[in-house]
Amino acid sequence: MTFVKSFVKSSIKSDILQNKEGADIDGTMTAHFDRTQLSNTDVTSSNDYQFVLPASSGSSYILEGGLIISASSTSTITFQWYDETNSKFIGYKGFLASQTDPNQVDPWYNTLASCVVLSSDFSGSDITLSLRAVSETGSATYPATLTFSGIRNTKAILRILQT
Amino acid sequence: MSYKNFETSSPLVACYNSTSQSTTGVFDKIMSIDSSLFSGEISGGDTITLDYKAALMGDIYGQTNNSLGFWSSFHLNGTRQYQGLDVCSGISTASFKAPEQFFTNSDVNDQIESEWRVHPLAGSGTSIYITAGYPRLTGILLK
Repeated sequence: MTFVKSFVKSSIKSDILQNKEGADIDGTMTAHFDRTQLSNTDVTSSNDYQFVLPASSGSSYILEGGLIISASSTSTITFQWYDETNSKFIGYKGFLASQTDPNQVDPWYNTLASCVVLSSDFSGSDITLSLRAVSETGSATYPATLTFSGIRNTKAILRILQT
Repeated sequence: MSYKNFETSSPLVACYNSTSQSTTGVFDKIMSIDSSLFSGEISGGDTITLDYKAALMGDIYGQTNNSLGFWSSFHLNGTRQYQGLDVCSGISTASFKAPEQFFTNSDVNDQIESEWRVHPLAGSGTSIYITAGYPRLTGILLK
């Protein structure tokens, strides 16, 4: 029996999406990302805030996403990936604080919320994820983009890795 | 039966600067890189090239003597990529409260650099000190 080396390509794929403007969803601050930048992975979105991981891909996924907030007084936000299909928060939380200057972003700890969805987590159905606020203090709003004196253009990003 | 997707290289990227680096003044700076644990050819003390596409993340940590805007980005072939979250804004005389993180997807043989920027209003007396071991540029090769 002869084996021929297989030089098939790695199935690892990566997308990076930029944060964009978006309203609260059902009263919850929810991150929006530009779905038109989905080009490599099998993840889809029809509304910029719900990201559908297809069960048919047979893949595992890592999602890392951030938020940007603005406030007129010191405010904080903790955010986490929410599995809408199974109605539960998953992965590690991200945290951000805004100082009194609304143009200032002041993260103290993790600025990204991350989660891992394994291929074994799918039970025949697609899994839909969104990045939501878990808790907030102060009066933070969700500006998505901060600009300051023309040269600073701060946006959060979503990175997706697919096996 | 088994096979390796990467016959001659590790699929990981892990480059960093082994010593601290610092500047005084407000200007953009391409950061030094002098060490690689896995894949990555470093040239000129600051430029990485990879034989494959890659999904990359960078982070940087340090101190400043001023309240300022400070942020980082990758450069690919001289073009600035996604800006980080500007971790140092509003912090006076303190360590950064969290590493500044920045991302990009690079293509085969891109000239990969990392940069920090300081807001001009921070003032000419602003000093930046980056802790040894940073920036760290890590990632996964995509084939």
